[in-house]
Amino acid sequence: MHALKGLSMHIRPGEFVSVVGSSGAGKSTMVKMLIAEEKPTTGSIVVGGWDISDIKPHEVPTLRRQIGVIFQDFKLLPTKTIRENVAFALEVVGAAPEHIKKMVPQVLDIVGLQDKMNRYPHQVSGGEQQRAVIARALVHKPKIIIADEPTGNLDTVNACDVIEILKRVNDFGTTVMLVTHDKDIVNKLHKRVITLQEGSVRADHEEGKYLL
Amino acid sequence: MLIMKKENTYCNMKYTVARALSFATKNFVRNVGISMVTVAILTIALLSLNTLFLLKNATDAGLSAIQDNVVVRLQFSIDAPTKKIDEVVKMVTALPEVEQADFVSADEVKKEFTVRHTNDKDILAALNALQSNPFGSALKIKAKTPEEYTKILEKISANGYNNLIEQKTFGDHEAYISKISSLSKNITTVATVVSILFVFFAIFIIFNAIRVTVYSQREEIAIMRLVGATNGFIRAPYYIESLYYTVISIVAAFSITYFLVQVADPFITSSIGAGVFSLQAEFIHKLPILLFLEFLGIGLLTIVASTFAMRRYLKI
Repeated sequence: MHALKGLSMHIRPGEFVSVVGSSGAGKSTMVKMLIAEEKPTTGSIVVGGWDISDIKPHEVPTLRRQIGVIFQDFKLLPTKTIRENVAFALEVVGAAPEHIKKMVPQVLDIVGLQDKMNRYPHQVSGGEQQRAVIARALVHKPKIIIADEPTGNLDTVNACDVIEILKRVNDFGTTVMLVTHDKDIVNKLHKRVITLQEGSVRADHEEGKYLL
Repeated sequence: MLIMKKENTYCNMKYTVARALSFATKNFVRNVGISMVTVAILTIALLSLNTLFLLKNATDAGLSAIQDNVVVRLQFSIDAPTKKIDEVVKMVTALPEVEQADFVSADEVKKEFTVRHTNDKDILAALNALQSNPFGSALKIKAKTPEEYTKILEKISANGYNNLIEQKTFGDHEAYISKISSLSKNITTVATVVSILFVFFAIFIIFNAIRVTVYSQREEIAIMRLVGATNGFIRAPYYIESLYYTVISIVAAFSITYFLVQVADPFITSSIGAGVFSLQAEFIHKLPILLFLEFLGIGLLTIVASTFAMRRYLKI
């Protein structure tokens, strides 16, 4: 039994790619492999020229600092403010206080949360919480953003806001991989769409549509 | 766009250490109940170790003081020939096991007896009623070590001098020393077992405290992993937390021990003998090495307990 089998894809730097597929298609496993949470039994995964198929445990943090990850469940710390949540990502990797002071307002500005930075997660909406998670993912200036069902818990308006932010981030040159099964969003994006089915690529189209 | 294997642009050891310390302090305060119980158990374990150490020192000093005062006294019979007594004195003095041998004349023996019974008028009246000195001369022998008294007495016996000797006083001392040694050994054994039990109990408590902390912070840990914190950074606060337990409990245990030593010292000194042994002086003298050994021992054990707690519950 394999979650992924015979999967082969290449995403170019600066691309915005949507990965779609029904439940059990292997989307989440693929994300876990990209951030080295799981290893492939065979084959290779090359991220930005680095073959991470057999990555050493001590190299994993270095990889993760260069890949921003956004999950459906927001994973914000409830006892910290939005600003502290974003700063936390820099604090735990040993960033200097001056760097944190400079970077946090910048990324909160990108996601439009500068005026709410001192609020706690429960004091802001779901969409704003997800924007805070995006800010946290951006604070390391990642080369790749992987968004795993970022709009899953959001209404249409907030979902559109999140996608707009991801598009803006992509415009800055960051590669964005959007893993979703939201048909409307994928169809409106007019970007590359990779469709997974039973652990392998069923379709891969530039300016594609949601096929399933 | 390359993903760099060694990108570490803003990682600064100074801030990493400071933040690990800050996280550890927050963990300690956040779980203050568990922290206090852990410290209390560890303090009791250390107190029992300190008690064991002091007990050993006090009983050793007591035994040593008793042994120093042990002298075998050979009481010669009144009709023993002077020539033969001289032979015994010469022979005993020449023995390698003997540190000192003092001859006590019959007159001096009588005088000692009189002094010893100053308050017993009947005995003194009976002594004075006698026409002649009822005591023979004596020989006080001090051996180099208490174990050698038996050898000395055996040599005297082997040379055929037993018929000159009316009384040997070693038997009582031997039984006394043996009883104290046995008591001391038993106390040490019980204290050792109790200390080991407390130490194991303390280690289990630390294991549990770290486990609870890790569990209560599973979300924080997941985020740390997600944003690229190193395994060392994620683990460091828990090691520091266990170090806090060690340091606080050592300070508490030694403060309590010092207070108890101050209280107990006058009683122990009067029992063993003034100027012979001071528990307080002994404790202060051995404090640096005791602190070092206990810090090292308990510190290592807490680190091992923390490692096991993390290995099991903090899969990074």
